[in-house]
Amino acid sequence: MKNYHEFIEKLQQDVTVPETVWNQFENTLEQLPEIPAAGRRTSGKMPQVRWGKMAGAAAAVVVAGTAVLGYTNPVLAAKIPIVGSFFEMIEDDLTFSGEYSSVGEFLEVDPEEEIAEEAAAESENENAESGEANADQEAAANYSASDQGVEITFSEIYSDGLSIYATAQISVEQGGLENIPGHYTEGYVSENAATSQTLYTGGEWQAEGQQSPEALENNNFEGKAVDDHTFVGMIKLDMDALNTEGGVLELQLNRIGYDDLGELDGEDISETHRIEGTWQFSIPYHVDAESVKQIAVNQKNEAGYGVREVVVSPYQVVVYTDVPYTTLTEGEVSYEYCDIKVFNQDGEELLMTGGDFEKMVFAVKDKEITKLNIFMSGNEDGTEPLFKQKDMEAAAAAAEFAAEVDVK
Amino acid sequence: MELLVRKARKHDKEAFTRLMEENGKSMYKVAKAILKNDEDAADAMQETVLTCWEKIDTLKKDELFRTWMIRILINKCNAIYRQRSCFMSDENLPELSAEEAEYANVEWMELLKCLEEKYRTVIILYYVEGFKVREIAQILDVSESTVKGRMADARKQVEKFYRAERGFKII
Repeated sequence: MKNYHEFIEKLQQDVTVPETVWNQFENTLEQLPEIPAAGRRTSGKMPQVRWGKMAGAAAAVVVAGTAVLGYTNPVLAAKIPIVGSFFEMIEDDLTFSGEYSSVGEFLEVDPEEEIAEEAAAESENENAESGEANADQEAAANYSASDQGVEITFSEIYSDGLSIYATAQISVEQGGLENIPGHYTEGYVSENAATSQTLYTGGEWQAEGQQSPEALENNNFEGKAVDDHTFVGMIKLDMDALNTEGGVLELQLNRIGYDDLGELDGEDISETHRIEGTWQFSIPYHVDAESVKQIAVNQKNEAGYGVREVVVSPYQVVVYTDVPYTTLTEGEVSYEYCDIKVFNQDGEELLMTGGDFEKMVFAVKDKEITKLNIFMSGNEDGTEPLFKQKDMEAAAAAAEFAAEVDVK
Repeated sequence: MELLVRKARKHDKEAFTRLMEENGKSMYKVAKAILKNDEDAADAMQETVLTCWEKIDTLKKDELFRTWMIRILINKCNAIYRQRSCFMSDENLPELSAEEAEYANVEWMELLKCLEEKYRTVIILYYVEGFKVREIAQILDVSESTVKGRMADARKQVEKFYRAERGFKII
């Protein structure tokens, strides 16, 4: 043994797990207990609450909370809004990074309109307390809400028709935001890779064209802590399908939470920073319809893997896929295994960020896109599965289905 | 792996099993490095499988699965280590089985013996499992500077070990 590097090389040698250990491991996996249905998420949408009258009543509660907290909580009252574009502050480090600051719209409230809205809200609150709430009354624009020591103020909004992107300042009385761990946003880990912090949300939202409210699932604020009590982030809300009509985003948050480097325990994350309350917003938005390109592909192989359509915006590529499936019961299907990789004309791989078996979402990250090369495979057991391939040539060799799509 | 994580989060047993099997070797290396014997490593892996299965729907981001799982494993290892420490010292630990004795001949495990537990874990996570300093800090609940410090100290320990063993300074 000559040096430390040789020591490390020895450490990195492959090992075989002893049979007794592996058998116990496999036995455990074979006898996994059933998880109670109440704790399970099934395919499809989460159970929804009605948006109409309940939302109206909730709005009245929020208004009451705002009115009280605004005057009795000196910490929140003392918060000074951050001036400038939040998009500009965070856009380079986001998972869906890109230049939002040049296209995002600032949300500005006319001072006279704000006074009128406050008066109307107080009146509505009185009606709600006396059981006379007019819950179907159309909500006025509302960019800011405060409850349980958390004040959320939306600042900018943008939509490419696939998603709504909105920035907000979140002020948290209990603090601890500087202890939020960062996560890498480039799809790989390196000392110099971009990182962001996450502020988790729970609740639901509805935008133009959405038939019913959507539960917030992994729609978190990604951004950065400005100080221990202030976070600036962007929330990305994905439409079911491309919709180039603008409208009003109705967003109701009922939970805010964040991790703490000092409290990660692997069992559940940062229980002390999970704040339940009601924050409700109505935010008008326009769609930058010219920025998005919708391309029909309609190619499929014999096995059933294929691409129906591709939608490309400056920030994301959405691939609508066909994956073979078996129908189990009415409304419940079991999909075959599927890997997918997408490269641009220069062989640069796009970062896959999520989706499901019918729709996969990739981050553009400022890459030029004139052509997309899409590869799919259902081979999960082969020696060279698609997901392990690092470049376009190798991905093409490992793929069962390939499509080349011109983006014009 | 992200597709498997996504399916596993919905408590798809097949996907979860495959996901854990893909990570089984990593789990063993980490558990063995901390606990030193196979019986305890197997118990820690078993406990980790069950906790991950129960809690996987609480995982916030698919890409954090590996960090999350290793964090749970290390917690299980530490719990087992503390439990064992209450009953026995190093001197009266059970003798190695024939299989373990054979395994102990693997050089990487021998090499690790010269390091204290806190250094072994950092070295395994960084050099063998490929975690970055930031991630190791999250897994071990220490600062990044502590991780860097432990890595530097580990190197000194290795060098000291070889000086003592071989009578010369390592360059």
